[in-house]
Amino acid sequence: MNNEADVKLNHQKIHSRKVGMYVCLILLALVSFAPFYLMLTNATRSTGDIVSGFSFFPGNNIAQNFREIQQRVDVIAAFKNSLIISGFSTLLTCYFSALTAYGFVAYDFRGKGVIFTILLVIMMIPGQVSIVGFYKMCKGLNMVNTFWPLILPSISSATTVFFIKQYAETALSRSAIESARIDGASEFMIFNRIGLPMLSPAIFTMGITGFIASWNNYMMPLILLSDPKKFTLPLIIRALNADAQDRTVGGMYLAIAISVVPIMIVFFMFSRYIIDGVNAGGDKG
Amino acid sequence: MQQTVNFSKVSQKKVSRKRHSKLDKNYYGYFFIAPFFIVFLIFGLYPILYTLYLSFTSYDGFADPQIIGSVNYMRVFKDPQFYEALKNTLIMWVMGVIPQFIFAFALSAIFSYNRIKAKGALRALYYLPRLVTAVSISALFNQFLSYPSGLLNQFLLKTGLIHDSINFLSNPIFAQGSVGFIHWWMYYGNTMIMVMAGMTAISPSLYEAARIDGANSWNIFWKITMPLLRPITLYVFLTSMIGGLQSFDVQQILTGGSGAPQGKLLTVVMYLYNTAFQYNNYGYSAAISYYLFFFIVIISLVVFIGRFRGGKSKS
Repeated sequence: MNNEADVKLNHQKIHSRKVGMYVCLILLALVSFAPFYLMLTNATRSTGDIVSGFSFFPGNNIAQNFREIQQRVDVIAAFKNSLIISGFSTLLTCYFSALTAYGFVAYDFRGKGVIFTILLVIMMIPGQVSIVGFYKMCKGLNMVNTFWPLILPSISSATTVFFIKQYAETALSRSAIESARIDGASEFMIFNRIGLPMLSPAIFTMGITGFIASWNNYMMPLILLSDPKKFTLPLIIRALNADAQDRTVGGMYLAIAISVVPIMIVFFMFSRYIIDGVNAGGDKG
Repeated sequence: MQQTVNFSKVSQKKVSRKRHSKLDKNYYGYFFIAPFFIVFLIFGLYPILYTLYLSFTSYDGFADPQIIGSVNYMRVFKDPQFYEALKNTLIMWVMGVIPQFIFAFALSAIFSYNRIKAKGALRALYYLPRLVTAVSISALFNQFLSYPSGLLNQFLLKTGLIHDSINFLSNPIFAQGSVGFIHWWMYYGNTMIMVMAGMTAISPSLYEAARIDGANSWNIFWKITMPLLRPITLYVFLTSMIGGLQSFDVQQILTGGSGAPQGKLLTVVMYLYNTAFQYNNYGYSAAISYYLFFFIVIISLVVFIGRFRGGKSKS
């Protein structure tokens, strides 16, 4: 009898502990998501509404907010610029990182170990340290206010190479490469036809993270782009945020939402792949 | 990593043996890795060396750089503003990293010891802020914290906790705290996922054995999980420190680049950015960069050696 009651009590204790745990977990999820929710609702409310009181419900002022903001800065052009830079960066990162990783795995050449160690060291170099030299170099090459210095460096992304190489070590089938070689295919054709498809899961994961990183890039565009026509979304947000006189709060929220929502969509579509890529290393937080 | 090095040593021997075969295409490896290294030389290494050169000059962006020796370095060494910026950077990093670690470990423990429904969805939500543009997040929080009618003020007024709006971002301690909060909010999910990867690697049989011996979850966490996680904890901690030393986006947006109030939000990278791109003192800025570089290299070396040795002791 006594024993049975004990077990029952114990069950209850475990049960209430579980409930408490779920409450905490859900509260934390709300803390993580609430700012985005408020961003979305406020993007649809008029500045007057937002300033006069706080509400969880969306309004119907989104078109007006957009017009207000578009008058001050060109959001559409900034969106396009961000998309061009991130898109081309992603393509280059994917192709050339796979090429490099394949080179390390499919071939045995002299000095490979040393060269790979150099790559690991490159992975650790902080980008912000050389901004002065980077800027001066781009100025000398007439690349200031162009997208080239924001796109081309994507060809040498050490973190991406590292991740794809790790994957390639198990996924690359040497016998398929060998038989294609016997069939007379050239080495680059083998890579394009056989290597790339085999590596595509890893390329895909790194492609998503690469796209997001490029979309969020702030410091390099800040240094290199001074022409408002070339601004990316983060630069637009900065300009609006700094402009304290004429505050259209609703428009400000909308501009922030425009820069954030594409990332949220990409994330909710591919969150599994993205979280897989977190442990790729060199992910600074 | 250790393994890769060994592997390539073995394969080098193979190379020399196979060199004369007609089917030997191994030299193609150089062509495949060439684009990466060529682009790195131009856009990676050259700017680093060029920054080093500029750090020994008095370059103002207009006249040709004049070599002035180590003057810039001596100046940084005695520059109170540099140390102030370094102090601010570290304070704001600590404010963010402590709660980050507490949440990351607590959540990882909850997820590893219990069967949680909707684990994937929760994890994704915790991770989401990490991916969103830091600039946008800062601008968003700037709106929330704004004076006099930002969201936080409205909320506190409505609930009757305060009677007059507070200008939060004009108070140095609150402003630094806000940065710490934003950093926590952005990165705790990321830290959690890294810690969790380490926790899932611990064999469940260890936990089972401990439970049979009568240990409870609390004891298991402190006596088994934490000691086994020491290498990954060190790694996450140091990479977070490297990131923290370079923090720029949040503080720059919250203060419009000035680092106000009272310069307490000025970070090292903001200081070097302002020195170069606001005051055109490129040479001095380059020297600041190299001081920062020096700190980061030391931390990176610890990470690198830690990883290297960690791999060795496991095998």
